[in-house]
Amino acid sequence: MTRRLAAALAAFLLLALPAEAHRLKLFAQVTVGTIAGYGFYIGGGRPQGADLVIATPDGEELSRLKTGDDGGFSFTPPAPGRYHLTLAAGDGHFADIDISTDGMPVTAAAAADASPANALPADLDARIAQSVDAAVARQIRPLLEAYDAAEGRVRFNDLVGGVGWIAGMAGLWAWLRSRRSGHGN
Amino acid sequence: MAHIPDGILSLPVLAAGTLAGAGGLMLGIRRLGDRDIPRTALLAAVFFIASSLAFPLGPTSVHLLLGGLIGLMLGWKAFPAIFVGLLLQALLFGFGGLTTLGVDLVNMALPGVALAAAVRRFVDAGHPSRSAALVGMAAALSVIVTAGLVGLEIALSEPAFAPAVGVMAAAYLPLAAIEAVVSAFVTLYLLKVKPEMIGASAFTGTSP
Repeated sequence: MTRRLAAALAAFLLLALPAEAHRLKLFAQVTVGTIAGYGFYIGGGRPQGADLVIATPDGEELSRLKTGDDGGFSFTPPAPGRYHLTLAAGDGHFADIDISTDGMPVTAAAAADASPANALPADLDARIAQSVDAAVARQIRPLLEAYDAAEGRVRFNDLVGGVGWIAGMAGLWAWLRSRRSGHGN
Repeated sequence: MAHIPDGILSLPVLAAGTLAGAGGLMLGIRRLGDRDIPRTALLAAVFFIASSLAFPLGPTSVHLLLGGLIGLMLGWKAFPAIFVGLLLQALLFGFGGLTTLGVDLVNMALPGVALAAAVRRFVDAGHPSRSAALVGMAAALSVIVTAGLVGLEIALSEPAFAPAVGVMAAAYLPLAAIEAVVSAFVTLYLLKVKPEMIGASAFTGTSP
């Protein structure tokens, strides 16, 4: 009987292999001072009309917005800095990330040189930096997305490892009990 | 579905959930006799795998919880089985937080254990279809109670994040229907081949 159940379990495991985990995640990217991204469920689906709360690292709420039909959002913070984004999908799922809009070459270049004589080159520098920035962000976006999706994926190895842990714990428990009751000797 | 992450629930909710979870765990472990160990471990593995794997369903994706079925097959021993599954999910996959283990355990184990206890006496091998229908109903109801507990805990902790009833219903009602069908078919199968596994005493005269 146990053997038959175990066989059924194994069959279920094989059938379910291509399936993925169920977890809400938040993807966001900074482009020229604007934070944009989307929420997604690993395993499929985007949360629509979910609450997104943007706060400072010490928890002060700055803004609250709703995700669109594709789970997307876009927000331009008042100043560069670190922000904490929390997404509440409304069905008990949450996701959060920390993101920094610091280190933007745009603001650095713009602030570096304010003398009128150098106004044109500084502006040009800033604009070149800005477009390079946008291009790089566009290029690495698929990579970042793939990494984010892969990170939460349930791997077959992990599942088998978990089942192994359960078998080991059962064995350990049985051994401890057998010692206590003296059956083991 | 019901894996609440760290940092959402307030301290009183966490404390109450942890105490209740620990109480259920104690009750379950006390009832865990030598002969129950393999079955409990097997169902812990079933829970671990079934609730780790999600399949897409409409705009979201769902995974089974199997609380009703595990509650029927194990009674209070469902608490240790589901606890082990949840602990491994938190450690291996990051599903749910470690601080919320107790709350998650209560959410997923208690409805199934309580509802299965209510229907167990009507489950017998002499009336397989009636028994399967009852178990299916209990399984569906336990999903809905789990969803209600999750919603209540979040609303109590952080009213700003209180889940919307419509969104919760859209996510959990299809799951309840799927759980009902799965649980009913497993009950039919077990009544045929091994009725004592679900406490059905018509032929063997044993109790769980």
